[in-house]
Amino acid sequence: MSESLSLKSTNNSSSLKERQCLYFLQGTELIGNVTIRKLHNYFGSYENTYLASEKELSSLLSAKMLSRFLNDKARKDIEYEYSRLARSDIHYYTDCDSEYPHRLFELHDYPPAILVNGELPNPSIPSIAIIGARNCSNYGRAMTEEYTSAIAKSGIQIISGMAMGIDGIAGRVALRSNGRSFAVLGCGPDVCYPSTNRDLFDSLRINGGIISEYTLGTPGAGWHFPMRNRIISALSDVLLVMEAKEKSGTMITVDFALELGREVYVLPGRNHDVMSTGCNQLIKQGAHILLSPEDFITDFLTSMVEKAEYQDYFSSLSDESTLHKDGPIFNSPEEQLIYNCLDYTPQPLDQIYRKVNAQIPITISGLMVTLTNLSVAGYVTSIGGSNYAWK
Amino acid sequence: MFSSIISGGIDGNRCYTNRVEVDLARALPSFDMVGSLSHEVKEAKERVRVALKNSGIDLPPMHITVNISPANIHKTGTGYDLPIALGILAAFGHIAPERIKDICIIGELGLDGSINSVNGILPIIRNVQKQGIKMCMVPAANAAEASFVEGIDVIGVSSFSEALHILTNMSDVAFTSKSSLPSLLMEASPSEDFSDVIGQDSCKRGALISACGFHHLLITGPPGSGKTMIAKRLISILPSLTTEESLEVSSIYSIAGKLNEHTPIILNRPFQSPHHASTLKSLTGGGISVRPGAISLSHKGVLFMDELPEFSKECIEALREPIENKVININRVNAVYTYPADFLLVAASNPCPCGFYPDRSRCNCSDNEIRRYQAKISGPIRDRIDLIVTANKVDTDSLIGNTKGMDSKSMREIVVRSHEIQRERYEGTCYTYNSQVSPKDIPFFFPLYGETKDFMTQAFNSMELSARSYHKALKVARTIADIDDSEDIKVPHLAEALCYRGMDSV
Repeated sequence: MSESLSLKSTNNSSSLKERQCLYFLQGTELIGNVTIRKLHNYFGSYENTYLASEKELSSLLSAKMLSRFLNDKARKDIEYEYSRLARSDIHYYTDCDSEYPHRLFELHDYPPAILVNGELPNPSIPSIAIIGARNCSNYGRAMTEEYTSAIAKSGIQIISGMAMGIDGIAGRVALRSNGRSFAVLGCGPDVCYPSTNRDLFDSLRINGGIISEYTLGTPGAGWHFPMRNRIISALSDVLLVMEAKEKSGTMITVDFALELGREVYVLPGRNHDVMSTGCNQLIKQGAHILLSPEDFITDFLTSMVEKAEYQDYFSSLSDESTLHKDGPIFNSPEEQLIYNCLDYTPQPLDQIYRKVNAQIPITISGLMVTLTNLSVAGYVTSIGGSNYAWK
Repeated sequence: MFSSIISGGIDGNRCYTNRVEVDLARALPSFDMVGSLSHEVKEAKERVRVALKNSGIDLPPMHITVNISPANIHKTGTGYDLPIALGILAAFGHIAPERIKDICIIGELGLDGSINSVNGILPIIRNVQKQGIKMCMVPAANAAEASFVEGIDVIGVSSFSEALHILTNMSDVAFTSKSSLPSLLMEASPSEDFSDVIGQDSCKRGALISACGFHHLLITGPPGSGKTMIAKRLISILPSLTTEESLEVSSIYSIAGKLNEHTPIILNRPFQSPHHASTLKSLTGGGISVRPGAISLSHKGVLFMDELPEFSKECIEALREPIENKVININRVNAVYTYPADFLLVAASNPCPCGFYPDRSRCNCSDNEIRRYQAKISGPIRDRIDLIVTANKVDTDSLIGNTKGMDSKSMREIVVRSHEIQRERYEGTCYTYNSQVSPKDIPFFFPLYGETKDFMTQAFNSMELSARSYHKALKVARTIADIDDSEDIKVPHLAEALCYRGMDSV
């Protein structure tokens, strides 16, 4: 960290030309953050790097990098490329700008600049990253909704990856609960990936921000995603893992978070549940366990209360921030019995029928009527046709 | 030296009564055939010449002219061989003209003088009978089929010499015995019964509602969960075919060449299950000489499309018109062929490419994959499918528990009664069943008041229903109310109907 800070201090001049050249370097494929810094140290500025002769560069760059660099240099107009940022309404913060999130300096390969579509998380309010599987189960979905809405209601910022599944749900629910939510993308901040999350992308720009270290128009690439996961870990105070298989992108993010010394909270799953094997493994290794939203928030706030930067947040917290969730209200004992035969895992109708029928005589149509009533009341959801689960 | 014999033919599904005219002239020997003939009819002259020779009849060298009138209708099929051969002999004076005056003759000749079966006998003889003909001579293999036509005597012949003997010596004619179609239909019963289905209560209920309101049905579920089993049994709960329906269905089978001596008539509602690699033509009908396809062969019965998303897009989309109009039109430059296609569509599909969604411990399909898979069944087809049920693998508990549910007989009674209720309701309208009511007539036939209206409003909002699923739910609710013998649609009927709307989104 001390090294990165000293680097930062040498990087004092930040003229427009300098920014344009940095933006160009950042947009050059194959040249990573570490190499950019190496070039900057050697030449003294980004502009000098840009103007450096092929011979000088060849000692620092591999043949492939060099050819890509020269190719891009011949092809791109750096002034025009840089001006696209302003036209797309996207902020460009370099590591010598005051807006640049200081937490990113904790990364050994922190990006020399980041692109922000919308705003950055407020550094004086705690942030929580919520991540998990793309192909989440109903249990994961329901729990993410419950936790996210409780967290968002206590004014904490939520950071996720805007992926399908858990990430997307966390983002949507946070915004729905009038919270602020941020997404770190593995593509340019003007690219909506996955495209099905267009709605979320648009509302995050207004009620939060979309953050990326990739230049405009960069398409998502497989190896970008583990990279963006380290930014998610760096930006947040703690990491919440809702659902993860044994080998998954989520587990990579957890590794980054642990390297950075972030606390990891994990939602436990049942034994043999493939969707939770990763989670349970993490708990075994000593991660915190999530018992309830209230329990977690109390824990989290207690651990944050010492932090100087959050004092304003704590003083604004009112005592009566209620995190109470109402249980369902049933119209008949039959309804309650049927509700109790369900859980968060979707069950086929015929299976529920057999379970219920073992306790009270009921016709299949009678069961369907009750299930629809429970769905209309919002306690039950149908998944994939006639599979039912708690909502 | 002229003769004329009545015969019949078929083009697509239109039947014609023809006259086979033969003229013999003392001129250079030749054999000419005219009258807008297709190649298989033109080939008749070779078959006739050789068959006559092999039956011991030598043709004298004369100029033979055959005309099949009316000459402007395209003739197809092989049924003209026998009337041509007999016509030549009649023109020679071997057969007295009055013997062949009032008899319709159809049959294909083999080179050895045997008479082979012909496709389309049933509709042809029905048409001939309507023209006032009282007697017909058909191949022995088709005699049973033809005997189901009322008001016409059928002579089955198996060789040319037999046919000649009957016409020259009318005294010892043996008419094919007639069996009563209504009593056969009464006795007919499909071999499969719903009591064989164990567990699967929701599917059985769905099948019952489907049969009652003629709602097209989609069964989703993993492979091996018994989707085909349910579909096959649907025909056992539909009302038995009426005499007219049976003749109509049998006619299509006759044209397609699917009737034989063992099954001369269709007594049970047909069940067609085309493979998902089927071509468009095999499904809709068509071909060089136009033939009915699977959708017409399932007329008045069940068309089961297993693995619907695996069918080609054009095959799925081709179902739209027949579902709406109950007929399929096959357009050609010189004619439009229309086959009936009033079927109950039962489709089966997996919920996702791997088949296990929403069991996420086994299904690893991404949401996009599932959405893409679902989208293979296009909106217009989904619009026409009112009921979606899920079949699940039956566990050992219920197999051992062996709780037999309703059998087909009691389910059929419910279906018959609800059909009666619907007949009364839609008397004087263009509808027959609840499923057919168009959205503009829904408020008139299925009004909602007070409690039911509130319930639907609440459901519409909390379950995020689309207008499409709203209309479907109403139609299905009406059928459920009919099963319950209820005058009005009540809240439980609506609530149950909402369970059959399937997957809204992923």
